[in-house]
Amino acid sequence: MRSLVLTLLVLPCLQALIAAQSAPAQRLLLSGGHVQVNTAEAPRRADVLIVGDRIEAVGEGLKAEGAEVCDVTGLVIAPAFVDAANLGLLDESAFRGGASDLAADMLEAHDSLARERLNRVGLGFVYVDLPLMNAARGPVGCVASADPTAANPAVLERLAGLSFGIGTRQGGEAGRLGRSGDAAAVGEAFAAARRYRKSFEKHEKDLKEFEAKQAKSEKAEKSEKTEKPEKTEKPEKPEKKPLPPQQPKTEEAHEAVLRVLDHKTPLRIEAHWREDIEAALDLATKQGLRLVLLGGGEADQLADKLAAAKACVVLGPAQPIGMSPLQAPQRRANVAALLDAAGVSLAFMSAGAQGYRYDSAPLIAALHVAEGLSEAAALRGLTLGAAEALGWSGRSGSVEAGRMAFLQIGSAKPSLSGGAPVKMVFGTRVVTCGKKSS
Amino acid sequence: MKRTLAVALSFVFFSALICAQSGTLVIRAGTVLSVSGESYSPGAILIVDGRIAAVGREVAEPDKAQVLNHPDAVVVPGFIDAGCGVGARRGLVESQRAVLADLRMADALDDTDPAVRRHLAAGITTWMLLPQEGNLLGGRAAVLSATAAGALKLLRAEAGLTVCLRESSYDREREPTSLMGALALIEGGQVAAFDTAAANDRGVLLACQSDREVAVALRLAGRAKGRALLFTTVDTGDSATAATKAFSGTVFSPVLPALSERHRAVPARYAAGGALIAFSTNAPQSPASTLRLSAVTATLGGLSQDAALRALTLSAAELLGVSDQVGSLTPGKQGDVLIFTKHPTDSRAQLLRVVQDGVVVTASAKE
Repeated sequence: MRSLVLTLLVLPCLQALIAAQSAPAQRLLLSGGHVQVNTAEAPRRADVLIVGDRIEAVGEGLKAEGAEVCDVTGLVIAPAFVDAANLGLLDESAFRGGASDLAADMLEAHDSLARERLNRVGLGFVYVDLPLMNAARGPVGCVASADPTAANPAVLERLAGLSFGIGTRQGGEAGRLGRSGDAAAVGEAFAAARRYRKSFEKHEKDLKEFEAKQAKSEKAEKSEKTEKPEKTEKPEKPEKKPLPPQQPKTEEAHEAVLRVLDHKTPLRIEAHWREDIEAALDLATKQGLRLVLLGGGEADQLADKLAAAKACVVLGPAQPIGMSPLQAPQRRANVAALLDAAGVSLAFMSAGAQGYRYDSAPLIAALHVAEGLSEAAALRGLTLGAAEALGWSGRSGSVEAGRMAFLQIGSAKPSLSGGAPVKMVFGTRVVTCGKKSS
Repeated sequence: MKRTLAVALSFVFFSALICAQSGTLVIRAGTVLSVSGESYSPGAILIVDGRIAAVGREVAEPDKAQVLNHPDAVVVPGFIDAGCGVGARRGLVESQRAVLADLRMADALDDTDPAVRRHLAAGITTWMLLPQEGNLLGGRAAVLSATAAGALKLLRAEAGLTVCLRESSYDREREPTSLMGALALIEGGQVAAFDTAAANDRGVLLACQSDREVAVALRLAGRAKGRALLFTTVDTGDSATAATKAFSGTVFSPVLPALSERHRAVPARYAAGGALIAFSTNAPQSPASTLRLSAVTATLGGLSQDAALRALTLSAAELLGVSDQVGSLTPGKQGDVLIFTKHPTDSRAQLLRVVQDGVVVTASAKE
């Protein structure tokens, strides 16, 4: 009996101890390092205080009682890189047509190796895209953390976007519908989402009417009961109660489109040929939406229009390996340099890049530098540019108070020369690259 | 008098023009990596009539020489693609016969192939033209270079007999139908061309893509008494030690960033054993840019930058038997020079200028 009591007392204590060890502290102070606020600035001496998943303060000599302190003396703290379209965290079902319409439901569980690989090149989180599967409308993407310590990738934004394709399909389907069919399919997706929203609005109205009706009839019933004394006769068969109007089924694919229409996430369209890019721009302008153009092989021909529309272009490799003829034969290797010169915001992606691995976004950016893009612009594309492409401006991409704490820590400021960071920071969790979390 | 003056003036004018076009070129740069020996920071190269005349910290600047000043740039020899189909007519496979030993790629040149221009634009100034796959003995390879105008010139008309041990060589309709069949044909002496090529200085070029095929190639290398060059992929990492001893060198098919760490490290494993290594593009199937990309990926896999640059230049020239003409910045060699913003195996390195035979062909480099 005594041993049972002892066990019952000790067990919760042990559990609490294990939980305290595995859960990160709520406050973390990165002390003694140099901070590169964004990739355009030189590192300066500063500490960084993180509370939860956000940066609380950046400054010299920060004090934080009760915070876990990580000594980063001699190291540079910089924003983590972001891949604006990545397929590396998906499980196999996603490539076989997909069991779901949502990338967030198809993330590979218990595979920290993929995330460790992302960490080794400084990638802190990625937009998980899905292959378009030869359709004009792709499934719903999510934003996922590259923190390798969790069993499953942490989803930072479940309905982060929806990719459409114009002129990207091959074979008979493309011939049957044509490119104008693709643009029409995007328009149809918008119309369907609006109908979906209206069905909810109608349901809400019907429900209010129903409730009012119910309240009225209940009141009438009550007053009837008080006026007429109860009869002792055999009770009448009870009247069938009217049912409330049925709520429409929630469909996350429509929800994702509505988020685009409500300006919560950008409109992502993959297009490579000039006329398709023009169609994408036209669609975005008519809907009053900001365009994120994926691929954009001939985008340099429309650089000024894209800049005027404040569009963002997410680029794959400068010199693709094994590119299909559908993907812009007029592509120029220095497309990134030309877009940057016109003032177009750039980001990079590894998704769909044949011959490249899912951790190749920094390498792809470096190879654009080899074609004339400035290194500063390439680094911006991996941080602030990527944040803009994800609709995360103001939330990530720099080391400032209020931003999400996805950071890389290295012996020098991040570059594209292949140097690996020493540590990665995910909120208050510090991960030593190549090792388990500290 | 007037006429004499006009002749004299035009003589001076044309002399100056010729000098500027192909006569004398001086390149000054932040770093000159000769590959064969010393490197200079800063450095300079003098090219006269298409040949390197001098390399050093400083060179004499002849009158009216064209001068290129790139104080922050890195200058290296022109790249060598150790295996591709650039500059050849198509349709050279004979499906009814396994042995096309007499086919000379030197006789199948096609100046109009647009891939020649793309190669030059990527800094590939010399390459080995291989017969198409599909025959056990596909023919005799040639080593080519392009002129600045894009015309082809032969550096070596017969650079080895290709022996393809890959699956593409086997056919149910004719012999050999399998790898073992191929081995039996050659070892049985039924393919005399193999022994003839092995006996002369041309040697044999053995194409494989698996460790199983390399095992057969090792036996054939013994028959060729070491005059055998291995063409393979990074799937043959387990053969590294044996291959290093048996072959004169190894040429890798494109080493792309999609590969795993283990596969990226294979060129470094071969090089660590002391093997001469080089890269090939397999163009026109792959773009010309894959040559430098292979070197970049191999350095990510642990190959040193110097070894990777050597694989792109001098090692490739030695394996192709043209190191007396190209492959390093050495006086007497062809004036094929590349000017990069950084070391060419740095992924960020931008190719600023391509100099072929002492003539700047920059215009094509960025188109």
